[in-house]
Amino acid sequence: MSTELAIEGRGVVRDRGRFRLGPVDLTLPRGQVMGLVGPNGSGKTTLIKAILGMTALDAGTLSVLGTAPERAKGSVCAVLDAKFFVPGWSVAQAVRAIRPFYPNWDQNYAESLLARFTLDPDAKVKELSHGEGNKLALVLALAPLPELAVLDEPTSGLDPLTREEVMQVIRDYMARRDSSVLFSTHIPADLGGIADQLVAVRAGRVVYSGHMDALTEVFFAVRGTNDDLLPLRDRLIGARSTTTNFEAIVRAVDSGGLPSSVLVEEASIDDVVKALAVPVTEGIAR
Amino acid sequence: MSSHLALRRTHTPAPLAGWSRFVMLDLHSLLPFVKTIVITFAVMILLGVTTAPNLQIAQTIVALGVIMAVPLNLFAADEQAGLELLYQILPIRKRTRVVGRYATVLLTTLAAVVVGTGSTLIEAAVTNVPSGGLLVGVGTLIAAALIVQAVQLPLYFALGYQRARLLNFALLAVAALLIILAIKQISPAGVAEIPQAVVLGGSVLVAVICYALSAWLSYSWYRRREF
Repeated sequence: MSTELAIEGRGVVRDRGRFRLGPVDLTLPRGQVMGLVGPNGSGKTTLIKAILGMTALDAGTLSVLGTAPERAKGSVCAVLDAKFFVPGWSVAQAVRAIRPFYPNWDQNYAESLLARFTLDPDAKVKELSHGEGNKLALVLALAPLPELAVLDEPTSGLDPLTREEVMQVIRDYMARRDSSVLFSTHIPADLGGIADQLVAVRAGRVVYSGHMDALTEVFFAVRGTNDDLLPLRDRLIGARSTTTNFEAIVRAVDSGGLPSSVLVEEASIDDVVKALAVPVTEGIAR
Repeated sequence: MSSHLALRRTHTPAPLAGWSRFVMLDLHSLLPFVKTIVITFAVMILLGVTTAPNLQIAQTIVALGVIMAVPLNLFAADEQAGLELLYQILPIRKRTRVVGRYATVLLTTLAAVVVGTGSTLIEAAVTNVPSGGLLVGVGTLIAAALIVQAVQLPLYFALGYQRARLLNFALLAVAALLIILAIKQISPAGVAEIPQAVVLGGSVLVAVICYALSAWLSYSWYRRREF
């Protein structure tokens, strides 16, 4: 297992009865940000749990910071979708409860983040709004100065201003430290300007894994009328149609010879992520 | 910002063992319940002072209830506040969590016993009831409390708060019944003849054996649990 990699997974499989994750291959070099996208129930959380050492693998190998996930916990922090603070705690009590576990805890940094987020240390956790709860979780995940931060939808349910505030803190953290981030999101726009790598999972399988810059080179966005849809069905990925028009993406290698009535243009992250979220039966299984 | 004063302390990592850090976390998670526990304890002491010596049995049951409330609240917080998720993220192993939780329960039990013993002495002074045999009473109470905890803790570790709490209440009822029967069977003259050192030593021995077996069982079950 390489110590130059923050995460290295080979043939990772986790079987949970009706749902099976994998086999998944995953590589995140140190100092990079990986965006993890996929619809609900696609396996993102299961993958994150495996990376955090919260669930055992049924097959494959997974290394975090060059060691087994459960041994890397001191250098890995997480923001999870579910909250894990006692409602009766104040913000300051939450900080005091968590910090003894992390020898690298930077109290000045924690306080600066609380001030930046205007989180009152005396405020009770149960009185915090959803956005403030996310901010507190982020403070507690970054103040230990982790080598790897695993952020499971940290911007979910936030208004645009709060979302940008949270994203800026993550960007600043990346600029300040040579850390790695695994960032799961439903909002493709979050990944622009921050993610180096993108992994898209669907139905427990990785359907795209590669560099963010390559994403728009690998795929093109295509739009046209439904008359063109049927003959192109095998080449299109994630086609979504209205009564008259469709939109989809197509791999660059498959884009030659498309009819002139179909508009082919550079794909945005949004185009690709939306297309990858369309059920497997509509094309991505190729 | 004045409210930030609450955090104005440079954090120097304390050289604490993993289990002791977990005890600190447990005590933090008990903070919101402190008022309830203190009020219950105060009521128990008040009952004792105002009605002694007739309510010894009721007092003992209440004392056991208070002692059992600590694990109950700890495991309730684990589930209701999602702390189990936090434990899995924090760099603490399951074995350490089990040892830490047992240490918290033991610590709070001993604290309760110290307060209870103090209150009994005050009660004896106020009511002019002789406090002879106090050591035997304390030793018996500790043994009873620890045995009850030794049974209830593995249930919580194996099943979690929601599923284990009914069993916990059933256990409390059985324990109360056994204590009442035991107290009725004990002849005060016979008890007085037992050397207090034997009672204390026996209590400690029983407690250590029960706790060790219980902790082993808890870990065996808890390590297999997935969340």
